[in-house]
Formats: sequence, C-alpha cells, structure tokens
Amino acid sequence: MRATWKRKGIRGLLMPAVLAMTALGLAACSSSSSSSSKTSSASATASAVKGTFYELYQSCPSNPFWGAVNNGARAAAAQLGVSLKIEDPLRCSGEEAQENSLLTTIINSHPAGIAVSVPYASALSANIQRARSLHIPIIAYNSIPPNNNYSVNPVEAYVGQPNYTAGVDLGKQLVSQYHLTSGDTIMVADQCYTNTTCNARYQGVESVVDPLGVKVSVLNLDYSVPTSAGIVKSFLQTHSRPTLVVALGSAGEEEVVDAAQALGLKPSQLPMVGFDDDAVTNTYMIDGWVKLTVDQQPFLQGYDALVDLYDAVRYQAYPINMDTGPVFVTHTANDIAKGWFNPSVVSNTGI
Amino acid sequence: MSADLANATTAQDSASPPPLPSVPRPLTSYVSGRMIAVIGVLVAVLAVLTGTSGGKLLSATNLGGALDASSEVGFIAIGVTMLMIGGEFDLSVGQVFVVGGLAFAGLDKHIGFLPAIIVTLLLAGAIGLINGIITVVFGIPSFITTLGTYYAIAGFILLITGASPVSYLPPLPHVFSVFSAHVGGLGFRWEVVWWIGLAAVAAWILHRTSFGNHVFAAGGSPEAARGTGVRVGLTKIVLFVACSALSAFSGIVLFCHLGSMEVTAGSGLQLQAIAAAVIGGTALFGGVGTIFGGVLGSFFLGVLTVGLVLSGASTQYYELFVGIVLIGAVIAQVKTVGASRFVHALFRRNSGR
Repeated sequence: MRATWKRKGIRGLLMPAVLAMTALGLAACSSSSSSSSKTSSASATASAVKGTFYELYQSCPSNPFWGAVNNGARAAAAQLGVSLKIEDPLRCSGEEAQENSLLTTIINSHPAGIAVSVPYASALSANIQRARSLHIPIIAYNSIPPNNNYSVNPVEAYVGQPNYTAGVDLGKQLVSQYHLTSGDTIMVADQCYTNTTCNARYQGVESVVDPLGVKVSVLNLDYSVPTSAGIVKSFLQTHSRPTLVVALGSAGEEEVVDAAQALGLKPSQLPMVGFDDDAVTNTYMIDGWVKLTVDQQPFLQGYDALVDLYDAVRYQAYPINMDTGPVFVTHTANDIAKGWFNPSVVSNTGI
Repeated sequence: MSADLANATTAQDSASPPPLPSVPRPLTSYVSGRMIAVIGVLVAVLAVLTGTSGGKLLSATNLGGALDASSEVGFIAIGVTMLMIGGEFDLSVGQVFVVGGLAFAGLDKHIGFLPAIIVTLLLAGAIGLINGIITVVFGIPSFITTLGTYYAIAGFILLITGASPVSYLPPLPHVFSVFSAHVGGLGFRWEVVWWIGLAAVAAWILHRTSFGNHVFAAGGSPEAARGTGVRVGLTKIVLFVACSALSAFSGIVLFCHLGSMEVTAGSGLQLQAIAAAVIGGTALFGGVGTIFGGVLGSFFLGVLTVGLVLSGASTQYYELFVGIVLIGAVIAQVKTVGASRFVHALFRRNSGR
C-alpha cells in the first residue's frame, strides 16, 4: 500500500511541478530582467526621466556586431541613469513580422522612447507612424532604407551608418587604393546571402565598381565553414585569381582564409577587405590576410541612439541625425591598437 | 505511415467493406483529458504573465496584440494539426508561406486582388499535391519528402528573387484592409477573424463530417482504416494540399499586413506550427488532436511573446519557455488522460446512454 501511495504521489506531483517550474521560470525571467538593468533602474528613480527606453533591433543576439551595439546602449543607460530594455526578434532571419509584432507591443507599453533598426522599406511603417501619433519619441538606428522616404518611415532621426552607404564608401576606397579598372575582378564572399544587411553592403560596393567595368563574382557562402571553404577553393581553382576579395562579414573571411591556406596561397597573393571590426577580423588582420575593414562603430550606434532619445525626453531637444561611420581600420591601425587590446573584452563585445 | 496511391484510388475504391458512416463526434470528445491539460497549462502561463506584467497583458490592446502575433503561425497550425492527426508531417510549410506572399505580391498588380489569391492558393495546392503524391505513391516518410521540398522551394525562391525582399510602398491598396484593418476598438486585426473563421470551418470538417472521421482513422490506425473502406492515401493527399494552401494563405495575409515579404520569412515557422499543434494536444504519431487545441497552442506562442515584453523580460527567454511548456504540456496531457474517462462517464450517465 505504501509503495502504491508513493507512486501515485509522485505522478500526482508531476504536473503541478511542471506548472510550478514554468511559473517560477517566468517570474525569475521577469525579475532577472529587472536585475539586468538594476544599475540603470536604481538610478532611474533619481533620474529626471521616467519610463523605459527601448532599443529594438532586427537581428539575433548571437551576432557579435549587435553585441557591441547593445553594450553601447547599456553603457549609455548606466551613465544616464535610465531604464533600458533591449529587444530582438525571435528568429535570426526573416524577422520583419516578429520585429513588427514586438514594436506593436512596445508601443502599447507607452515607453519613454524607442530606437528601432529599420532595414525594410515599409514593414514597420504603420507602427512608426503610430508611435509618432502617440507622441512617443522614435528614431532609427543602425539600419534605414536607402533614400528613406520620411513619409513612409517617419522616424525623428537616424543614428548609425546605412549599410548601403558603407558599401559605397568602401567601393570608393578600393578604387582609390587599388586603382581598380576594367579587367580587374572582385570575388565577394557573401556568408549572409539572404540578409538585408549583407545585400545592402554588396549593392553599395557594386554601385561604385560596376560602372568601371570591374567584374564582380558573388559566392554564396551561407553554409557551414567546411562547405563554404570548399566552394571558395573550387572557385579559386577554376578561375583566374581575383584582384581583391571583399568579405561581407567576418564569417566570410574565415572561409576564404581556410580555402586559401588549403591552396597554399599567401596573404599577399589574395588581398582581402571586409566589414566589421570584431575579434575574427582583428586576428586575420594581424596575420596579414585582411588589409582593411569597415568599422561602422556599433558601440556608438547603441550609445548615441539612447543619448539622442534621452535628450529628446529630458530637454525636449529634437533628435538629431548622427553619422557613426565608416571608419576604415587598417593593419597599421590595428598594430597600434593591439598594445592595449584586451582579448576578454573582444570576446564580450565583438569590437 | 504512408499508403500507396493505388490503394487509395483503385483497390480501395472497389473494396467491399462499407464506408464509415458520417457520424458526428459526441460533444464530450472535445473535453478530453488532453484538452483539460492544454487549457490548464495555458491558463497557468497566462496567469503568471498577467502577474509579472502587472495586469497589462489583460488589456484589450495587448490581448489583441497577442492574437495578431498568433495568427501568422495560427493559419499554418490549422493545416499542420489536421495533417498530424492524419499521421503525417509537413516541414515545407515555412517555404510555402514565403511562396504565398511572393506569388501574391507578383500577381496582385497584374491580375487583381481576388484572382491573385486564387492563383496563389492553386500554386500552393500544387506543392501540397506534390508532397502528398511523393509521400503516398513512393511510400517515402513525409518528414523526408517535405524536408526535400523545403530545400528545393527555398533554393527556387532565392534563384527567382536574388534574395531580395518584395515590398509595396505605402499606402497599401485599400483592399488589403480585409486582412490588415483593425477590428473596431478590439485591438486586433481582421486577419485574426479570418484565422478563427478558418479554424472553425476546419474544426467542423474534422469533427462533424465523414472526411474528418477518415482523417482520424487514417492517422490512428491506417490498416484498420483501409479495412473499413477509408481511402487513406487520398485522405492524406487532400490534407497535404489543404496544409500548403493554408500556409500560402498565411503568407498572403502577412503581405497584406506588412506590404513586404522577405525570402527567409518562413525560416522556423514549420517548427513553431508543430510546437503549436503539440502544445494544443495533437499526438505526434496521428489519430489524436483538435483544431481548437492548435488554435490555443498558437495563441500561447503569441501571448508568450507579448507577455514577456510587457513583463520587462527579454524575448530571448521566449524559446526557453516554449521548450519548457512544450515538454510540460505533453507530460500534463499524458498524466491527465484519466480525467477524460471521468468526463465521458459523467456525460454518459447524465444522458442515460
């Protein structure tokens, strides 16, 4: 009898245990989230600005670029003593519906201000207009459609540098530095083929070099590193060696270097330029593979966006546009930097 | 799991056993132990999120927002639930969703709103037909068939679009408001009404028609179903077609709402739809489930997103809790089947049966 009672007791406890676990988890996440912004919330009581600021971005948290953006935002929140929440869509691609849904909920919670990345022509348009009609300060950061039509996406300001513009600037830099002319070839390592960010970067570069007659070959490397490296290797074996390689992000650099090393090429035989200044790019730059990278200052994008919103709420100052790039980081600059470079900071921030 | 099409159309057509009678399922069948568990878990999560959000979740605006957030997966979950009850999976629904949005966007400007919807649904239905025929005729597990079509369609989409999203600039055509306009002051859009309406139709078909009986029979025990004259293969093919059409419809609705469609918008949707169906009490291997459960499962996913944000938590907790609740819901369903026996017995006694 005792044994039977025990078994039933355990069974009976299972469902309540699961429900309790869920409940505790949800309660914990709520409190942990509060504690994550403990510093800012604590000082928020003393701050002149009430309410919560939001930064909502279109990518996923595993992206090191966004780690740096978010660290910038958190640093600004701590310094200003305001409450900040950072939200991202639940998927790392095809995120426009999720981002729009999150923006709806954020607006419904009547925040102090919103910074939102806007990589789509119109998907967030209705919500941006709604925030304006509710007098919630809303600015775009990091992404904004090329030649943004402010009647469609009526954000009050933009902080960052559009990826298309970064691509154009890199294209101009390459033409000037490598004297690109008709007959030269560029191999583009595109590890984020379906991503609006990479598309914009590529289109920017292409808009400059294409009219000069430079031939551009795009390799879709949206696969595992060995598979993608195999694609690069095959390309290099079957085509004449390109004048330049443009990697649209550090993942692409990894695959190009892997293939080049397998073919016995030296860094000087396959000059490469890239986007973003993260730990991977820095390593390849020190090794000589990457000659130049575009730094769009992700830390400042997150930091300045919150400062812009804060000024709007605290001082009724109309938000202003802030251009954060591009900064071209070269091997020489990196040599200087590595004197004070802290590897633990690199892995945490991606800068 | 799969039957041969020949069985479906020839041998079984001439089989001597009489077809299953069109007997409406008793109302008590909706109050199963699984459903009690599903509702229990949902209420518990809702209660916790209401508490952590300081009651904000229960406002009409925020509940409406949760419904809006649910409908994208919700349309797909209707088809996925029916297909899973019929004993099959469809992993290609995420890509068919994108095909729906892109095809509609391409056709709408040329042939008009309604014809574009019809042609898009026919196109999606053709994809479902291919999935069904490959699964049924060649006896390939639907998991493999639809994984293959998932990749094939994804590649096709990239080739056609060059990975660029398709967008309309505002103002969007007024006719799009049949899906995207807000319903009075209720906080949600007409797409939610379409979702619930289609779910009601699907529930009626599943629980009140002989075809619905065939679906349960085909998923629960295909051999026994064949023995009673059910055309198992044909039933499954129809389910594949319906599943694809509903996925494409969801893509159309999203396009009318946002005015754009990204080529990767369907990534992960298939798993969310399966999660919604399973949280809603649908058995993984067929024969058990309800549309109502699929709707509740979808609503759970929507309410979790909105509730987390309103609670001040990061959405990075979302997948963690979906995982916990998915496992918890299934454990709860398994452990509460006894309750359904009690309810059934109670109804039988009261009705003198």
